[in-house]
Amino acid sequence: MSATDLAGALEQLVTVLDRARLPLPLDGVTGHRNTIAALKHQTEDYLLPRAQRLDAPLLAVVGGSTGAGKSTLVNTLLGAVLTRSGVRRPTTTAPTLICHPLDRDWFRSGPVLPGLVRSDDAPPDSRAMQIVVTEQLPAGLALLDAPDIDSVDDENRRLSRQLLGAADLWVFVTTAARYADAVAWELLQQAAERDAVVSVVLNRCPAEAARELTDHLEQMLLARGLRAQQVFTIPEQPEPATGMLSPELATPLRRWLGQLAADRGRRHAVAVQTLGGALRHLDPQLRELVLAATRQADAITDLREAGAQEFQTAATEISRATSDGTMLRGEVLSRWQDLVGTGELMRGLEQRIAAIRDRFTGWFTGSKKAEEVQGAITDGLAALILDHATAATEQAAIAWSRTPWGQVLATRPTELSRPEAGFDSEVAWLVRAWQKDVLSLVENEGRGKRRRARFLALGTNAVGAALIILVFATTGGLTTAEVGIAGGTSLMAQRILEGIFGDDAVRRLAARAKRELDFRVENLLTEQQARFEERLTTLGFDDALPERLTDVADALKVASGDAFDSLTRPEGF
Amino acid sequence: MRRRLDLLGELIHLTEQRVPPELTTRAREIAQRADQRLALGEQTVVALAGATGSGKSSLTNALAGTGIATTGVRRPTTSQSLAISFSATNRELLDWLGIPSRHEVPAPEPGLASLVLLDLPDHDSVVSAHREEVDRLVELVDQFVWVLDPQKYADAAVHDGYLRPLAQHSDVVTVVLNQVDRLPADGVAECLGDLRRLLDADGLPGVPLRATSTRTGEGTAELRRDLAAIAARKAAARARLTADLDLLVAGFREACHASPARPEIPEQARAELGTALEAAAGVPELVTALRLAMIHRGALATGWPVLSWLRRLRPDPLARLRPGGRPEVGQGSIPEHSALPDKGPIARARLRTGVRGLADAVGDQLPPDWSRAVHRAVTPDLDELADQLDQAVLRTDLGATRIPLWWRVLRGLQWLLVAAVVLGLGWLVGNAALTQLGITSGAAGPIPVLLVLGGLLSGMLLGAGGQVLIRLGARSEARRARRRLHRAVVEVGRRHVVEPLTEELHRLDRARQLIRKLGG
Repeated sequence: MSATDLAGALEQLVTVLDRARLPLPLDGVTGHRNTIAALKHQTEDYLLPRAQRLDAPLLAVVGGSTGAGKSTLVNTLLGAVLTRSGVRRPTTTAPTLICHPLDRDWFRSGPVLPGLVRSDDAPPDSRAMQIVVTEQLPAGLALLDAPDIDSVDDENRRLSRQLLGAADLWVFVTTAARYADAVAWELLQQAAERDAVVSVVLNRCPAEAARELTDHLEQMLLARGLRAQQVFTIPEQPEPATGMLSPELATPLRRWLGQLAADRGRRHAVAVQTLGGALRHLDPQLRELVLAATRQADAITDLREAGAQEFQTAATEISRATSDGTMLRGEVLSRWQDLVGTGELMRGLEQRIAAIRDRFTGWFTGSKKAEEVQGAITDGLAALILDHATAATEQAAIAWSRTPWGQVLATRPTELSRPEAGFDSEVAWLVRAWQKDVLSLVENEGRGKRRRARFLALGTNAVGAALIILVFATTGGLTTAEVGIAGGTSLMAQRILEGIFGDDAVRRLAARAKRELDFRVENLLTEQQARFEERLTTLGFDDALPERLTDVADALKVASGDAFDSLTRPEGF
Repeated sequence: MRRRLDLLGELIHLTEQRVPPELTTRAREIAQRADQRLALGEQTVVALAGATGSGKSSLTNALAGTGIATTGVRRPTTSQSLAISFSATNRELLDWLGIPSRHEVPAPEPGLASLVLLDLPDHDSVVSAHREEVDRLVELVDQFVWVLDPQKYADAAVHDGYLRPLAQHSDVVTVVLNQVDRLPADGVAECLGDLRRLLDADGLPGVPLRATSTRTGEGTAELRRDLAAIAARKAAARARLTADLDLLVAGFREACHASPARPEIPEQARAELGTALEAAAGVPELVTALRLAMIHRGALATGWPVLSWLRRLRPDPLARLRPGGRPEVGQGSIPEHSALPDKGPIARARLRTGVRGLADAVGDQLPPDWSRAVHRAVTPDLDELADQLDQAVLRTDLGATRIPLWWRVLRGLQWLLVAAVVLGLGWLVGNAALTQLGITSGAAGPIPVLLVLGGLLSGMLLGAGGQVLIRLGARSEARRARRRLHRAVVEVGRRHVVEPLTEELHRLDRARQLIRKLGG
């Protein structure tokens, strides 16, 4: 049965809308958020109950501007003061639902407007919907006196829109002073879009201008494609002390409503027209939400990528700096030269002499100098990584700040533009851990018996330092500018290592050590990037939202098409 | 007002790119508008604004005592702003306001003569062009009369859209509840009370509020008298501009809020910058190298000549750091420009970290836009800074080229001792030879042996003792050099980092002074 399909699709829509968040303040997002809330209300308040029971009593919502005389009109229709009217604006803050005793149960505990608290009397300072039972109204039609659509009371404006969204029938009340208000026409436009059944009451109309104003109003309705069922004009009266107009003024409206309620066929037609229109209007709204959600997803992806790019750049730069020989300058270089005793002299001398000298100086000072090389490497590498990681964090925050929402994310609740306190010691720890990696790497490799003696003669620290020098100098391939300094330096390191491990093993060790370093640096940067990621996660945006919305819109289109085939099918088929 | 505008001009210039760009744009607009308005005379432009159907046009007619403004039942009625002057039309003023529809009416009472009354279109009808016209004129007019009526007095469109944003302009706002004839007699007070409550909530407590009715004539004479009084004071234009300025100054005050009020460069951050610059310029290694070089050279110069030549096989530690300037002992000075290679990514990283640390320390005391400006100011061309540091270090006299006198003395002594040894050896050899040849006989005596042994022993002792003195000398020499290098590096830091930063702080200070003057 297609009506249950429709109900199922609508329930699915509620689930999707419930979880739909548009967290970023992109252009028009307020409108889209309102649409989400309005659609959810409309689906729960009206579409679902109506799709389940097409023959349930009709709900006519009396809505309109503040001061238009909605409550007075309702009182007049019923011939009794049931709702408060007055000169204070806004007068009505809680909705009042008036229905025949037979329909009471449907509205008291039925599925219509499930989010509103019901009440049998009118407690002061409450927004609960009061339900009043009267025999004055025919069964099958309820009147709802809604709060205004345009006063300073925000909650009134929200509630009135929610109630109008739940109406089978609008009784839209305006006045001679109001009928051209932008707010009123914004709502009437919506009614036109969803093909709701509307009747307009032009209240407080100066008697002498009644004809002219009614004509003008009808022209305006026509120009905006609104098929108002009826336009009722009520002449201006002095503010009635009784809360009611003289009853004959409301007679045409009362008669119209009465006829509607009495005829089952017409009631059905009204219900079908408004339901069908609302369903048809859902689709373009959902498609627009799909676009809005896609834009949110894109904006979040942009932020994510802008951040990731900075950290990627940092990783690349650190990786390059630690492999192209440029690290072999300053202190690292001079400490290394102290260790191996090269320098000016070495450049011109035979390697053999160097070897002799190594033995002389190396025996006594080798171990201390190797530690100094390692120390220089720790300091230099840590400074390099710290700077690049900090710069990446700073740049990522700047990249985010180029959009207003990114700026908010980057600064609240805390500034993202700097790494957390203690980051420098984390970096120093990383470098030392890597040096330990390298040492254990050469230690493991040096266990081979034949080479053990030479390995021991130099010491783990010195061999490790040599490997690091080799990593810095050669794994990235030397640029011509560096060949002069780094080439000579690393050649020495390479000779030492090859003497111990052999060519292949040296290449393998260097590549392995470099991989370990890159891996550790990438982990560190990923951790920093995660701080940015976390901000995006707290937005609570569902990446699959565009897809979910599309799916539910497609499902609704099919289901409502099927449902309407069966609803509008001529009887007997 | 003129003076305030001048101050504002300076403030805008001073804070550009240091406050949100919207604020700068808005400030420019207001400054320009105020300039123009002040040049246009002292008439008071009063605008009657309000919703469609509130009776603005009827009220205009009632105030002017004419029927110029079109009134009607169709909504919206007025689609064009209309100006009524009660004396000769000030064409420049109305051109500036952009109102083509102008009328002259004899002043119903003398006070109104300097008044220009504007009947604005509505702000809430479906015709959006009306709203735009209202929004345009709201920025320009001197005095507002907001016309409300019993139906619409609580509309969100007027309260949220216009009255609340005018909270700072309460001096130039009058609110009128028109059409009170439509209310039951006992409803007027209740309605006015409720409207007063809403106005208080809008941030407009105490603005004049009048009940009027064009049908009964209630309140219109009083309103006209109010307006005449305002026009006679000829202060409305200034009052409006003052309110504009006050609002603007509040925006600037927030954007230039600093804590503490006079941010300073923390001593610690300054010291850390010095350390970072030294590290980037390689000062510590240079100083160490200098000390080792002094020892090396001292040993070469004063060591026992018999063995000290061996030391020549070792490189000079300083020469390695200053390629191209390889000062031989006792000759030449270090060249000013050398092909000192780029110190590499580590030095660069240290440089950036040091500069960033200083900017962070200062930026923390500033609002975000100023903090960004500080970062921009102190992050100049890094290569340039590195180059300047190198130049500064190169230009610093390390004192390593001078050869101390006592080195020469020691050296002379060493050679004397060598000569003594040679003499003793010669003596011994000569004596032995002569003995061999039978020319002389017997021992040479103790003197040559003493010369050889004493010379050798004293030479070694002198070498060792000299070494101790040289080490001490090298240490103090290194300390002196370190101080000189530190001064040179700090000077570069001052010129290229601290000075631009201080300039930003001065700028902020000046901006805050201006804000205080403007706010007073």
